[in-house]
Amino acid sequence: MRISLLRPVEAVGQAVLSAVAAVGRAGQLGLGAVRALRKGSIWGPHLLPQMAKIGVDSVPIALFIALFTGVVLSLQASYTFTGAIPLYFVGTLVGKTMVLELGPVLTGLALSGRVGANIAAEIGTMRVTEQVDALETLAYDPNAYLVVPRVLAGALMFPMVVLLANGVGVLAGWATSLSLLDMSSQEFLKGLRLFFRSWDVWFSVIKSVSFGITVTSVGCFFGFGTTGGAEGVGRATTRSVVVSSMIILVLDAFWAAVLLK
Amino acid sequence: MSIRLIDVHKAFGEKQVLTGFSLDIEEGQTLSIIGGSGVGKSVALKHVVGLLEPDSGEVWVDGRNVSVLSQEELYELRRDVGYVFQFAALFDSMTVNDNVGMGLKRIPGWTPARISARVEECLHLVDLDGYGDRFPAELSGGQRKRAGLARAIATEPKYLLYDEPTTGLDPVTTAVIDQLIVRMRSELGVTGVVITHDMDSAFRISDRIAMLYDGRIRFEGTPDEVRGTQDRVVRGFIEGRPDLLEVAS
Amino acid sequence: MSKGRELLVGFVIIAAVAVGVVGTLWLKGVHWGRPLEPLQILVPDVAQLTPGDAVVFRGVRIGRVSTIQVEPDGQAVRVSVNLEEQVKLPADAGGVVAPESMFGDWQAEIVSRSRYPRYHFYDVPKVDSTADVRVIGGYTIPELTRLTASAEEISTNLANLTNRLELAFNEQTAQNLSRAIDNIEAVTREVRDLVNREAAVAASVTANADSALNEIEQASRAARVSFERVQQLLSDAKMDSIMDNVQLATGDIQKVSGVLANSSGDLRGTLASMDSSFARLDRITAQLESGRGSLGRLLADSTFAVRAEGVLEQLDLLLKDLRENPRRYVRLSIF
Ligand SMILES: Nc1ncnc2c1ncn2[C@@H]1O[C@H](COP(=O)(O)OP(=O)(O)O)[C@@H](O)[C@H]1O
Ligand SMILES: [Mg+2]
Repeated sequence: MRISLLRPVEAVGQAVLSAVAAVGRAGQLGLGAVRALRKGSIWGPHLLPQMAKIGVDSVPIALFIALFTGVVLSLQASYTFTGAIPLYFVGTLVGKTMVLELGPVLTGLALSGRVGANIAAEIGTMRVTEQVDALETLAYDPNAYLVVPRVLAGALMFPMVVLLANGVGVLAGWATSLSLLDMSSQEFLKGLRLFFRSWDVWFSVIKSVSFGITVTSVGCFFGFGTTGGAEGVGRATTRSVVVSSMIILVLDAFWAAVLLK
Repeated sequence: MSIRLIDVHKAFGEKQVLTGFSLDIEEGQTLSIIGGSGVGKSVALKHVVGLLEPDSGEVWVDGRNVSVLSQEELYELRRDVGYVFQFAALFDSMTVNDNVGMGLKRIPGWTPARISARVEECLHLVDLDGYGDRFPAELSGGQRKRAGLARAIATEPKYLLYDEPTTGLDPVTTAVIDQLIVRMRSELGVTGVVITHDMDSAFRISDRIAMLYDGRIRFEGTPDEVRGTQDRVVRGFIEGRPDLLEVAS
Repeated sequence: MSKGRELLVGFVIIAAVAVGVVGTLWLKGVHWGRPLEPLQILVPDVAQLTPGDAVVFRGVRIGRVSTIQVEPDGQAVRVSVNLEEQVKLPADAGGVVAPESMFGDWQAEIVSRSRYPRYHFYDVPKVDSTADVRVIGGYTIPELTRLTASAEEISTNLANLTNRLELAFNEQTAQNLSRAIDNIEAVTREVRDLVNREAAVAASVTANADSALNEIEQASRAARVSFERVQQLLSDAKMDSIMDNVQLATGDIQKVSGVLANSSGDLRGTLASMDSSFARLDRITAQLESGRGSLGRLLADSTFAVRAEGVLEQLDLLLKDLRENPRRYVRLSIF
């Protein structure tokens, strides 16, 4: 009787404890990774391959998304503006929305699936097959060997991918406005330039750097935390995608609140 | 220098795995740990290189208390310890050559040429000549195990920890590995800890044998002492008689 | 890691940075190679002008605003612009900061001051004019003004606007207004008729009537000024002061009518009706004032201004006539 009454309390306590423990582990991982930055000899050789894997290989999917986003933005803008607002504002809307929001966020979300899941699965598999332990016994700091090159590559390459996506999105919006909306290039460009600030591009870059760090480090975190064989790897992968997507959206709001005053 | 575990306790959540595990391994000796599956042999071994930290108790290796070492000191210590994982734990993104060479790359002053020469030598020792360019996925379980062994011995460590090095190998390969373990001790003076279920090979390679039972060392002695013991648990295990084990517990 | 992959990484980075940098510069409209001509405009305030906005001369975009800084003494804002074209600007050049369209994008237009005598261009201090960079004074157009100036362009939107303003400026107000104007017309006609009827009588002009004339003249001048400013309203949003003027004028006219009422019995009836019409005007003024948001409608209703103009013209003629032919009004002096 006593036990059944206390069970909910116990559950709450356990949930809080495990949340605190997770934060602690995340902090530990973060600290470990920062300390591992010194060990350039370990992570150095892996940076470029990771940049290729995380950055270059993500370009096609990011551009694909950007292409259609640009087209849709353009069409929806014209649909919304009909009559009341001059059509050249399609350019403004496509440019602003693409660079400030959809370029970084959609790319970030897509890559949390592509990159984050991949990292979680890779490190998770290494964890359950004791390859991480093997690294330790061979005197390789797993933070330096696995985390640093991935997070650095994410921080460096996400903004690159996002910049390309921004460019493609705007171009797609432009092409759409020319071919489907009966606008002229001059009109589109007038709208595009109207409220353009170079700060927008910086904002996009800052955001995508933070998304890159988020996706890769969340992937590493859940990868390292993997227990329980193949099923555990699957669980880690799913959680990594869910959590990094959520963090991306929270960060998105955070940056908008902090940087767009 | 030696390996000493003093009253080590380790639990995972609710589950108590080690409860007062104490063991001394003399320098230059090979000790085998026997015991049923899942009693915590691998867990005990991982404490030696700091892959796991004891909840209480102390682990001394080479005169250093493992659980208080800084990260740097720990990595320093690990350079002297080779670890053969139960399931090989080869890096599956790398070829066998790269796997075996991993530890060597961390040693300052080793040129790629010297590394590849040493890698070839180690692969020869475990009878894997010509397999260097394969990936782990392209090897059989036994070959993988031997590649893992080659990786552990490549840096010529002072200590070698073998987690079931011969389990699942054919008798010939088992004999090859056993010889290798013996040579490691006799020619290089390596201090070894071998986890095994194979009593024949335990008697062949060990200076001493210890049995892990119920979270602690049940019995420890020379192969002859083990053969002559009246401890029902030890006898039940080595003779393969579960009836004795059940009575004991 | 093959060489090809390394190359790809490099290629992606270069392409991305190129997209970012070139795209930014292109959208900012940076011109490479061409020398830029600096110019500074001092204005009391910049409204919504921001760096990057266009600088326009005779309708052609010739440069961009580079920086905007408040002067150290806090008395003005210095707008630095870069001109991309080598253009000879007029000697009396002034800067007009105004919206480019009604959607919030602003521009700095460079104009000849003589074309805009009504604009109060900022006086550039002597010290400034001797600097290397040419400094010109500027005038910032209040936003509402431009809104009405581009009223035709945005007539659809304005229709919406006026609908919403109907509450403050309704049909009745308009009717009141036009009735007031009708009344004033009627009054002036009556006065003129009266005068014509009495023209045959000759006598000396009394001091009483003289001062009355002067006051009528003054009132009319004040009224004219205020109605002129109604027109100015189309480009100037100083509605408050105009309202004051209108009130002043009506006040004056009321005073005058008081004087006249004393001096002329025959005029009494006429003046009474004048009185009531002025009172009505007064009410309209008050209504206008209370419904400030409805100014747009008033400004858009040009017939009001035109008719008011006509009335004033008649009043003017009347006064001129009074002055030139005082004897025609001799009847006034009999009392
Ligand atoms: N990292 C871990 N987390 C939770 N439980 C573990 C972990 N490692 C080992 N265990 C548990 O400890 C017990 C002993 O495992 P192990 O030492 O691998 O057994 P064996 O003696 O066969 O090597 C097992 O029940 C295992 O489930
Ligand atoms: Mg084991």
